[in-house]
Amino acid sequence: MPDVRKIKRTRAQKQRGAASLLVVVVLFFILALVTVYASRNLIFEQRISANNLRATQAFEAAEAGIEFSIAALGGGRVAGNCTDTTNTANDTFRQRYLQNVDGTYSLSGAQAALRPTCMMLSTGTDCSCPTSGNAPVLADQAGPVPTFQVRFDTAGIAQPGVVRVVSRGCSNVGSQCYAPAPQPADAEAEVSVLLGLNSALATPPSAALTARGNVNLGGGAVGVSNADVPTAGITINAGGDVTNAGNARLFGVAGTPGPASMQANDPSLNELDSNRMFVSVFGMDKVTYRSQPAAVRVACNGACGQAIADAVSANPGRVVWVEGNATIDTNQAIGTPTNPVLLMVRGHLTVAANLQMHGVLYLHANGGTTWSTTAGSTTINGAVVAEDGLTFVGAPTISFDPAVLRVIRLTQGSLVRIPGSWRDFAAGS
Amino acid sequence: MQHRRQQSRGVSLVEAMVALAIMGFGMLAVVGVQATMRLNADIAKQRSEATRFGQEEMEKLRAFTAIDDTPGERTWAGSVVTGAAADAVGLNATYRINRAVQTYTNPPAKALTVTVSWTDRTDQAQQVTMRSVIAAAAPALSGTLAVRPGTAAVAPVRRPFRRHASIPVMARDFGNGSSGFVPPWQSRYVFVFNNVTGVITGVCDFGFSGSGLANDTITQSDVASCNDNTQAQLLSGFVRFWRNTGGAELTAADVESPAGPALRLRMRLTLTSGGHPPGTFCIDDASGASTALFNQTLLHVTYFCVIPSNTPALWSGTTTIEAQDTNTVGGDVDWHISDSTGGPADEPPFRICRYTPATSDSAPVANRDHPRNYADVSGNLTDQNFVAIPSNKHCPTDVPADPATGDLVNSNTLQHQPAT
Repeated sequence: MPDVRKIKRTRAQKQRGAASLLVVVVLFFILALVTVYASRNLIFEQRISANNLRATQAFEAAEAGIEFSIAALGGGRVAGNCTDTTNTANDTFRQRYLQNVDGTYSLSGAQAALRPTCMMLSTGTDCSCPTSGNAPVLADQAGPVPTFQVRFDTAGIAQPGVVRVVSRGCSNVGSQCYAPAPQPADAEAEVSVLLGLNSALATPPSAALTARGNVNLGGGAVGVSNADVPTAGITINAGGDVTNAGNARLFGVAGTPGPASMQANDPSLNELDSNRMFVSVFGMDKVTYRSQPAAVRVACNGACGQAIADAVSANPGRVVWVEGNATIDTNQAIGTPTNPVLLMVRGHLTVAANLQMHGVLYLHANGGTTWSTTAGSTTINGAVVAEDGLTFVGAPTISFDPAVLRVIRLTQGSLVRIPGSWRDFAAGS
Repeated sequence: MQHRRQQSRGVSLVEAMVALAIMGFGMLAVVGVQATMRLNADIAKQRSEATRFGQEEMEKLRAFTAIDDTPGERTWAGSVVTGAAADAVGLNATYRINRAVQTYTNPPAKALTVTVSWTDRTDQAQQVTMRSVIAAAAPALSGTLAVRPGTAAVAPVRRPFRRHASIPVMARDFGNGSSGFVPPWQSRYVFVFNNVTGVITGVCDFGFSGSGLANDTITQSDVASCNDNTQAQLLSGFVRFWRNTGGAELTAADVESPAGPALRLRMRLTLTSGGHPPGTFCIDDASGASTALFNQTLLHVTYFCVIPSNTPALWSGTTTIEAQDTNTVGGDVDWHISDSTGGPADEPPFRICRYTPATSDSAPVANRDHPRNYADVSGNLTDQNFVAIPSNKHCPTDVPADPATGDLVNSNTLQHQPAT
């Protein structure tokens, strides 16, 4: 027995200090666990906060992709880095990523694989607009740079003039948004929206020459023709009187006497004021129309034939809005039957050279436009609309071309958001 | 034993002190962690707040109603600009919001960076940054998209005089969606048109004595008895005359606007489609006792045919011109339609050519392009024109118009009568 007690005592004696320490350590460990457990919420909150920021950055990047597409689809020719260019070897963003077949958008197989991509730097966007068969190429960036990648989709869309744009945004340069990136991004967001073509020519004119006010043909041999039976071959449709038509060459449908093809004093025109006239043709007010993505402005006062021709050349499919009196002083061929031009001149128009134009010429100088043809021959295939009166000096030729108007109506104008189509989940599900 | 107990007691104190020290250091670490955790939690909360303020600022920037030049409205050009927004006060920090905007002009878009910065409890500067792009697309563009006239398939059309293009321009608009047309050379008939579709909804026949009505003065009440007594389609056009037998063969330029004067004729329409209610007839301004015809001041003939619609509202048929003896100041002209040339001067033979872009009778051609035999015509047909030329000449052909060369009209013709 004593042996046993001795042994017990000896053990107790040896282990007493360590036991106390052990208990303390265990207690402390438990305390630490309790503390960590109690701080769980704080840790979660930090995580939530960081994730929230990244998710927001990814979402803003995705939204940026939609807005970038809206702007770019209204733009002119773009280089490989999506910046505007005058080089006619390049096509426009819209031509590069969408094809328009008689007003309905579709994607070729090659187009469906293309992914325009942008990185959003502090100095602006750094973009890549790859051409057919190519992947986007962008420079490496240090630090977290929000990135987005855009694709277009027409699957399941039966309506003409409508396309879906799907934009994927990443909080930093990640492989979800830019394939060559080594790591996936911390956060990604995908949004999609339907874009609809807001036609640049909402209501095409139905006469070769339409004027809200009086038309003074100036006694010259102005040629006006319209052989289109559905529009009843109207050559001049004026809200006011048509004067000095004696020498004018008016041709409606073959065989219809010239004067019978003229419709003057039309109440549907003269009841409008200047702004309403604009709205009746283009479906929106002037300021909205002029500043839409698909309009390009050319400031002009005096000779600017080359400036207009350059703007047309660099911006196929865009509305060209010329501000000021314009003089076309060099020989120009503006537009083609398949790629016509909607040219608005806010001022008087003087043509002192040969001018051949396919498209619609909209003239709106305050108090009525004077259109002088001082030299060369002027031929307009399409239609001419004058917002107010129109006075001719010289003898241009205007020929109504319904095919040209149709192309403008179905292919030109801005692609804008269709209200109610925004989705931040996979569309269609 | 006592000694041992005493020794143990001392050891216990040391033990307790060591334990306390360890516990104390441990607690210090835990408190340190707790403090860091509190600071980080604070920053996390501030970061969340800052993110929301940043998002709010971003959404504010997107909330423009116009692009530019619109006084009194928030514009893209005026509001999406580099600068500082008003400081935002959060729960335990004040946030400074800065916008940096990069503008692209072609196409118009702005790349923007919103930076929200604040100082945390330890006076360290903190910030969150988000970047986006805003295009210059006015909300009105989306709005007007929804109120577009027409659709891609059905073209919107400008309607001169607010009505269907096929309604004669002289017709009087009653203001109730219909128009009344009195043929100006005789007031026996009044045609009432539906302005939207161009369909003839009423044909008023006031008998040979005429109604005395005119296009300038006619009112809705004048035709109240007959404004919806039928559903009919209109066929109209002109007959031009080239009377000069001399000179060379005719060219396309000659028949672009032949001078006339007109001869008396009657337009006939033979329907080959069935099911039409009775009442198909044609009128023209050269069939009656026309003073203008007698004076030879009537240079061309205008004709209108009314075809009451059958059930599918499609008619098929052929128009023919019947020459009639014409009493003019120069004497009686007994003109006739024949291929043979010659004959007495007061019995001249004429060919009837029809204006059509078609190059042969057999080429398929749309009804509007004036075929010999119309097939399944829906709606109204206008500008179905003819020219009468002396039989010693032939119907001239032309090529499609090319305005660039000054050729504004394709005055191609094919012989209509006698049928070849």
